[in-house]
Amino acid sequence: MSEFLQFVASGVGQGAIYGLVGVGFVIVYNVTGIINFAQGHYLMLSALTAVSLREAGVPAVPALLVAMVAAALAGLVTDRLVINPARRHSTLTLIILTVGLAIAVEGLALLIWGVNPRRYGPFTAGPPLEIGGAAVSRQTLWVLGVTLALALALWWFFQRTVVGKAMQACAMNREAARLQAINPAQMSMYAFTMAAAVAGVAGVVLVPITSAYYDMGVPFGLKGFTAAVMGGLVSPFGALAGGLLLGVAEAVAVGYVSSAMAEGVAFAVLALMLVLRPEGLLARVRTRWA
Amino acid sequence: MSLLQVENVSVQFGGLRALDKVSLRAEPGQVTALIGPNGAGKTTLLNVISGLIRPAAGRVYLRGRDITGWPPHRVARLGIARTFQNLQLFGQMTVREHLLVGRYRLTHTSLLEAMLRLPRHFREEREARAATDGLLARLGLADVAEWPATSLPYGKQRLVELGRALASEPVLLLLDEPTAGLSGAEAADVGQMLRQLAGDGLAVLLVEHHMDVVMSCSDWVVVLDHGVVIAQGPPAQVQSDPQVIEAYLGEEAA
Amino acid sequence: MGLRWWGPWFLWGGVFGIGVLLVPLADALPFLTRANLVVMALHAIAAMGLTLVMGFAGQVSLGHAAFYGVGAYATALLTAKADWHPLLAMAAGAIMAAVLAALLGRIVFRLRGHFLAMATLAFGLVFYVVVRSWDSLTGGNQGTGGIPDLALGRLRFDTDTSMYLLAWGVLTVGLIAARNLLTSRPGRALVAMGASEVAAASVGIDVARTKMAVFALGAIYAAVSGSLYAHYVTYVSPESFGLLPSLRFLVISTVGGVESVWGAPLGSAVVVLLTEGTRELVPKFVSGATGSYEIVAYGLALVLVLLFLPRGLAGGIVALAHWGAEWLGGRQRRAPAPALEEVELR
Repeated sequence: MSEFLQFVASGVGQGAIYGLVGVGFVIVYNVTGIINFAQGHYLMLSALTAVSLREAGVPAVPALLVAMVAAALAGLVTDRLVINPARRHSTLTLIILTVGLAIAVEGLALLIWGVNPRRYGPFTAGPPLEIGGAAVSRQTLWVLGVTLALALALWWFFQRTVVGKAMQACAMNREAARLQAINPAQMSMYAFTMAAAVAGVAGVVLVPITSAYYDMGVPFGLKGFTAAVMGGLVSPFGALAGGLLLGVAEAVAVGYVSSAMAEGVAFAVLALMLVLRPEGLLARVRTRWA
Repeated sequence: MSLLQVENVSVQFGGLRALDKVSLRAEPGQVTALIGPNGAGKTTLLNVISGLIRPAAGRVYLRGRDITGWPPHRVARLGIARTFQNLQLFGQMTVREHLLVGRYRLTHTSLLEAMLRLPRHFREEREARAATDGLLARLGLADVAEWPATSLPYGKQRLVELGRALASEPVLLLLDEPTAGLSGAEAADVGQMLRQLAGDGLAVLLVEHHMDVVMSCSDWVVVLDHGVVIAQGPPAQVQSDPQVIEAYLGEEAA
Repeated sequence: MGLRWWGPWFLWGGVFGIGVLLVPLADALPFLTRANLVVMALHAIAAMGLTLVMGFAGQVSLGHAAFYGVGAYATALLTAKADWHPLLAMAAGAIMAAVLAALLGRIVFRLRGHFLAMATLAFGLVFYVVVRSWDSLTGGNQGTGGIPDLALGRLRFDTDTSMYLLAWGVLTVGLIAARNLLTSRPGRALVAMGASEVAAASVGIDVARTKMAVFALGAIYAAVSGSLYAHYVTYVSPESFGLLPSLRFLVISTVGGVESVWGAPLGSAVVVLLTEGTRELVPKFVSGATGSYEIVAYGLALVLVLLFLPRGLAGGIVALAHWGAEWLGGRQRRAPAPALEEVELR
């Protein structure tokens, strides 16, 4: 049992990250109908930017903030430069566009930062904490804390602000939303920026755990997508839950089977979910965003 | 035994009863019109017959054979052809290609035979071309045969869809608002064509809003309202049925 | 096309002839080698399969390289370890790929749009992981080697040039087969299905079966190409069949144009040029550049083509040809503007 708890402890950190990336997928998909293949790459961009800034001597807090803003900007640019001109095209064309964007960004990252992974140290130094017999690294606690804070912020945003409710409206019924003078292009802009920002946050807290490397966009993107699908692609909180589940499942697979299989677990889960239950694990639960 | 027999078909969409114990028949050589206010369930009924929707209850028989719940392609292969309310043409395909595709159920060239250009391919292509030439002429589409169907004016596009349905030499033709968006004259032309088709022995079941077409071209009229058959009979009789008139109050009959 | 009986021979002879002419062209260009030509031809064959799936049946596959891998590994294992005749091994690979693809098609056929795309991506990655993990069979990450050069009778294909001409020949045959398909009953069914599944079913087309058949056909093209690749490099490893190769096929098909059989060869030529050109130019601006940074060019090409030339190069050339013909007063492919009374307010 304690072994299992240990797996949970190792897995929730990654899982929360997957969940955050998944949140981005959900927001963009619900507001625009597009799956942004480059969603994981915002995480990569913020992670590498943060590392570069730290290496250049910038103090921690500003470096992380700048990195997060950089990610958000990348999301904004995605919407304005790539998505907007192609809005009248088919959804499939838009998806392949995001694939192209992802490939290009990854190549650029390779040129800028090179092949080798880089990292900076955890936010608070110190040995792992003992919780219920399992060792939980301090950075993992940071990840969980940040995720919780973000989740609350998102809840507040969607429930209590006009823009947030407008975005929910778009998600529920785009046509009706437009009739209410809600501008879909503007909502799309907000959606992409937000999704990238959330991934950006995930990126900066993740670095001490896994390092930052130029091709981390795809695996985290795919796993984030898996998390989103597990939540049914309808609710950001479903994505968070899905992510946590996925992270734990992965940790269990690594622990009991082998680490080579870890990658396979997420892909297999994704494949299975899409085939057996594309509507997500929580399909019959209410689909409001809170 | 009728060619088409629909018996007590019911369809439920969540909480909505789209069709409630609907029964009707269609015979070869006859034009049966399905009319009713918007949302009455007419297209849903066509979808049940053509296999797109599985009814919650009831049966559909073609020549006595139970085809309830059969998938659309199997229903089509039996000789039931249809058109769609919102025009489902094939992208960039030419008019002729639409008609050639329509003949799918009558031809058998396989993938391998096609790629290797075996004799069956050539034989069937020849036969298909001859048949479609005739159909193109009949529909007045011969001069636009090589044009992409979607570049034609709306009225001609409707004809192409009809041609695609006829190309399969069906026994039962299901038409969903074939005159929608057409001018009065064009609608009358379509009505005439339907009578000709019936004269050739086809059974025609059409959903229609153009009352002139319904009155002048159909042999039998079935009236649906809120998923229930409220009247059926020859056109003149149905026209003066008080229940029918009431159902249409507040609805503009075209 | 209304050509005489010798028309097709002329056309395909010309296609093969162009292939032959590319050899001296490559020699003339400093950054292109004959080895590049081989890869170009092989990728064109595989991408043709993807074009059939994406362009004509309207289904997206982001895991196409998996089938390429099936062909390559089948050839590798059967010829090197079991001493099979290369053609037999190739056939076995093609059959396995077709079966795998049919199964995949069966499973994912009811998914739409992005779900279908993601599912193919996921399956492609699962294949990649399985190959990497199944050490005993495939040699895992290290791959497996010792594949003999392709030898058929007295013909030995052990040079870049001979391999290239063989590959280009196979490509020509593949093009012929694809064109034959598209101007036939099953081909029209494919296009119909890609345009409107509902209407296709209404004329008797079994959509599920047809999707399976298309996936299988596309997989066969990829597997044959993979087998040739295995003979060419005499050593296969999982890296050649993962996500990047799948995306490269996507770029080839999309940039070339998915609506035309010529898209794959055109796209493959462009991608080779982009790859070699990028690898030539970038180190001049970025010191110490390593890794497969040519993907920047792939991504940019993909984005630019989709934004400005959505039907790809082939589509662009066709449009140019039509425009030229219209401008010269030739035959029109557009119907005349509708007469006033035919215009209905809908």
